[in-house]
Amino acid sequence: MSNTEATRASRGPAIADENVLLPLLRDGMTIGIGGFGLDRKPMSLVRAIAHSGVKNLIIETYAGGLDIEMLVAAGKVRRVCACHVGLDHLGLAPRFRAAREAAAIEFEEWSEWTQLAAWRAAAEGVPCALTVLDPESELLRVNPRMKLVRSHFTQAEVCAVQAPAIDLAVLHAEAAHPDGWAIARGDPYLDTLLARAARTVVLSTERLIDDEELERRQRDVHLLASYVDSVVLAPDGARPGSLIPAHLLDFDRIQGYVAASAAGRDPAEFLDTEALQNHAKS
Amino acid sequence: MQKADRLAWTVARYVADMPRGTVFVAAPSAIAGVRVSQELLGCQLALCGRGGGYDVRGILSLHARHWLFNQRPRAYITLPDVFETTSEPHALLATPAQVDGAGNANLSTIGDYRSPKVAFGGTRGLADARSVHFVIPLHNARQLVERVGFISSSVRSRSQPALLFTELAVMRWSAADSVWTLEAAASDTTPAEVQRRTDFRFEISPTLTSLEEPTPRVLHALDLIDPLGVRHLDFITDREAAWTTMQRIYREESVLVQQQLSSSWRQTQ
Repeated sequence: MSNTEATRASRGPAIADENVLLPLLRDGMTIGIGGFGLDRKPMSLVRAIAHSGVKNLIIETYAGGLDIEMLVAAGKVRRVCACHVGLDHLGLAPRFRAAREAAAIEFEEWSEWTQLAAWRAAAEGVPCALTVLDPESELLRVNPRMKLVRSHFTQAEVCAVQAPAIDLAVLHAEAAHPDGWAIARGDPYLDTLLARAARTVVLSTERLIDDEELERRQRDVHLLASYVDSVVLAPDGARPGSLIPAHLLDFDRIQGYVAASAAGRDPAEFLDTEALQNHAKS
Repeated sequence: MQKADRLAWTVARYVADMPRGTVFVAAPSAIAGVRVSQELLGCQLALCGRGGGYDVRGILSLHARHWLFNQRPRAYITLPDVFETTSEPHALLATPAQVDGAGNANLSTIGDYRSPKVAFGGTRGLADARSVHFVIPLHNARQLVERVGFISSSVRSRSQPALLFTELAVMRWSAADSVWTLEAAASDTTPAEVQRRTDFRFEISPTLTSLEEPTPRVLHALDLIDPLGVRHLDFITDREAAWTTMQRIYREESVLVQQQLSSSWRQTQ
């Protein structure tokens, strides 16, 4: 039994609130965040992390958005590992951008395929994976977890990527069974890989479903119960981002955040007033 | 003539000749181009994107692009499966922050990497695609630079010649000479004007042609494909005006989502 399997077997899923995260948090740990861009991000769980006393986090996420903004604003982040961080059609992520330009955080930059390959390796429990990458890309210069190697079989040049060690994954689902089965009507993105890769998985859900609904919607299940350690009931847990197809993003609120940032005003009220104010006081 | 319509039609004509395969497109005006090429010119590229739609045939959307846009996909596949489709002939119509005269593109940084003068969002899939073409909707020297700040990817490592689309011109990468060559320009501009708005030097093809303007039939098709006018956002440079337009599109989309698309999703349950 692997360490991951042992951890899950000893805990088992349970209904909890966001506070279930607190004893799991450690300074310097690596947290994986599910969702994609502005969609189906586990914002209520991210808020709990922002409110906590943890610091120097390494964040693994495929495409970061408001989740990264909130954690950077709260001063929790040492390094972001992602292929992209932005606010989609609303432009660049202002806090992430400012932190990068001030060298206040590190950015471990990936391409989409290479990060997917690295997460897949982590999910499969192997230390690295081989994939393709433009050999001209300077990602090879700046990202220490990828390098060009020769195939043992053909001597062809391929890109080797190192699997991340993800301590904790936080994910959000449209619905979940108390045992941990999770349903996403929209795209599951890479949440399944992330759940398999992480040692511990905390899942927030809009609502709970019973055995009957689970059986009726078995084809919509994207997370198996054995992947999930804790289930947190969090209605509207992805806002102000979207939860496609249940709801779109809160355009006015996110636009207000971007406008306030561009104008040099305090944009805290648009994301999470309390967390950002706490950070400002500390 | 609206710039977005001209660019869409330019992209449409070029992608019509591309080999059958998949394509991911970033700029709305270029997405409109691929869609109109599918409808009018028999383009055999299947549009893929995040949210998992494969060969999507719906209308252009902004805020729920991966959903509204996918209202009529030929197949519904997840994001990881979209990546699997790129093992077949695949093209990327990317919109980088910078493109340079050496065929490089940048979506990462300008200046020192650890403490950049300008930080963009990140390289995304630019370094992954088998063949890559660039769409810079508004031709400008700020994005068409002599040398990029960071090489996210380069056309030099691709076997298929890359194309560079703007509302003014089409350039083709010449691997033999390592230079962009202007092969088509809008009828209301000149190569000298294109050069003035480009920070790198390019060659001019001896067979330089004029960009074909969209006909009323094409314009009608574009309006059917993009009734909300998402494609025009590529050309709104004033931030306030862009937000006002986005807000209008978002509200109209929200109505569409409630009225039409939720029913199609319910059918899948």
